[in-house]
Amino acid sequence: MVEEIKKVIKGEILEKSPQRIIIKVKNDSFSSTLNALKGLSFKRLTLFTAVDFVKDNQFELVALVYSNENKILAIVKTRIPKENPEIETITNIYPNAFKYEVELGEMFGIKVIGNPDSMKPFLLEGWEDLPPLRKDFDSIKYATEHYEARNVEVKYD
Amino acid sequence: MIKEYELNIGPNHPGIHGNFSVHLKLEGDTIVEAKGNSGYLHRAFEKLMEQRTYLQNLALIPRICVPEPDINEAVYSMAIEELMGVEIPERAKFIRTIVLEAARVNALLFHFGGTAAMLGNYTVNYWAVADRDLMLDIFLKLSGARVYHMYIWPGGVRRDTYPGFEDDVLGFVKYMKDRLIEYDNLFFKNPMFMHRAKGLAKITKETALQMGVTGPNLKATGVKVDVRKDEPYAAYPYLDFDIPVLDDGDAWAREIQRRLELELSLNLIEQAVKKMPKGDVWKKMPNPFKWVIPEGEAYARVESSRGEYGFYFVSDGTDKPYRVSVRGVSMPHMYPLAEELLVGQKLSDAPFILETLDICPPEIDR
Repeated sequence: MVEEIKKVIKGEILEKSPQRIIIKVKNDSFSSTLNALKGLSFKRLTLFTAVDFVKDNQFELVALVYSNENKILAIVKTRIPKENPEIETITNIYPNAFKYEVELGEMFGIKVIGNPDSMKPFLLEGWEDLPPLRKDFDSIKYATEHYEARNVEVKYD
Repeated sequence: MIKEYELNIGPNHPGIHGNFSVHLKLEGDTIVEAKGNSGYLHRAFEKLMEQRTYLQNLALIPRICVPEPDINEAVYSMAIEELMGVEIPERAKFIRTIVLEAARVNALLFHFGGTAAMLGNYTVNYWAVADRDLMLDIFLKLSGARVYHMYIWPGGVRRDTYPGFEDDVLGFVKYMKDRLIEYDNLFFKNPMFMHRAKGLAKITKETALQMGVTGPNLKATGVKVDVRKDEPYAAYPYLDFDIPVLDDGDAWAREIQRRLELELSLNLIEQAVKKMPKGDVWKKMPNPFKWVIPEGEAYARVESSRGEYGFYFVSDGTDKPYRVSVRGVSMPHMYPLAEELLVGQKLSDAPFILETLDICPPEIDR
């Protein structure tokens, strides 16, 4: 399977175990890679998410696609810069990516071109701070600024 | 002329375990549009996990999925073991299998109770909750807790089984096998259930595959996909079993599929108890309060009662996870599957259809 993938995809391909393949590509070939993988029987999008690498000032997009026939999971990764993060939608390839993309917009502030809902609140209505899953968002600071501490007296007999 | 109007079901939704609402547009009592509205249950698990040490997280993660908490502990431990390169003892593998299958039985019983209640058959609901309690008693003796066990942990399980555990579990299996006949007569063979469920909200194989559907919802359309067989974990390689599948893909098939899986789980528990070897239950690791996990990433997955459940796990070599992304099974089942399935159905069937998809809102609001 790895040989077949190497024929169609340009990028760093690593066979981590017989059932895990890690594919690192450039961000402009992300959707074409997924398209090619779908043709190679990777028909199910299992998860589409992002990781905030704050030291490198980059987001890593991670799409997990699975092949029912070959029982292999491919982890497709790409890095995008953190300033004005934008990606193109993959809903034309995997329809269930729609809400994952909305989540990327809401939780990381990544704009998804082609997804009309991507910057609308999905889980958190009226959120005005930094997108909460970014590493530079400090949830403890946010909580102390927005909520009063409860004075609870604890008595031990 | 019939006017279109809007109706909100929820957030205390009758057909879902948790707070979740569905916005419906109706013409008469026919649904013309359905939109899910999540967020009522959001507790920011993924963010919280980044701020807690590996041991502290063990107390947090079972809360992600309430009806079946043990799968969270299992995927969390499996991801850490993969990163550390740890192989767990044989006995621990069997104990994990028993716990995971028992949790599946519990979740399915809970599910049947809900489904039957959606059709007005409340007896099944009371029976199922009472039967589930018998297993909770065993969990209490095994782990010290009824619902959130925190029993599976990195390196194996937290402690060995108590004396008499095997007999208790086998007793429960025998009781449930007898009880299944009564469930069949009251619910699964009930003409009321058959008439309501046959042909209702049918999913085709193609739609299911395209939308990322897994678990019983997919198996009920005739696709044999199950993590227990495809990528065996715990003690599944040592057990002898076959995955049941059905072809119809309608509400009836989804329920019968789950009923067959319940029977399979009982058989698996029986096999695992009988084959369980003696020995250690935990691969000794250095001080759990100071666990540091090597840098890297892993994706661990298990077959939950609803489908493929997994954690995408990134570690930066410190004492806290760098990022954990939860692969909630219900995400594709609600968006877009349920939204499309509800269109054209009657309002009175909506809670029942949502229930047959077994949507667990905490997996969406994670």
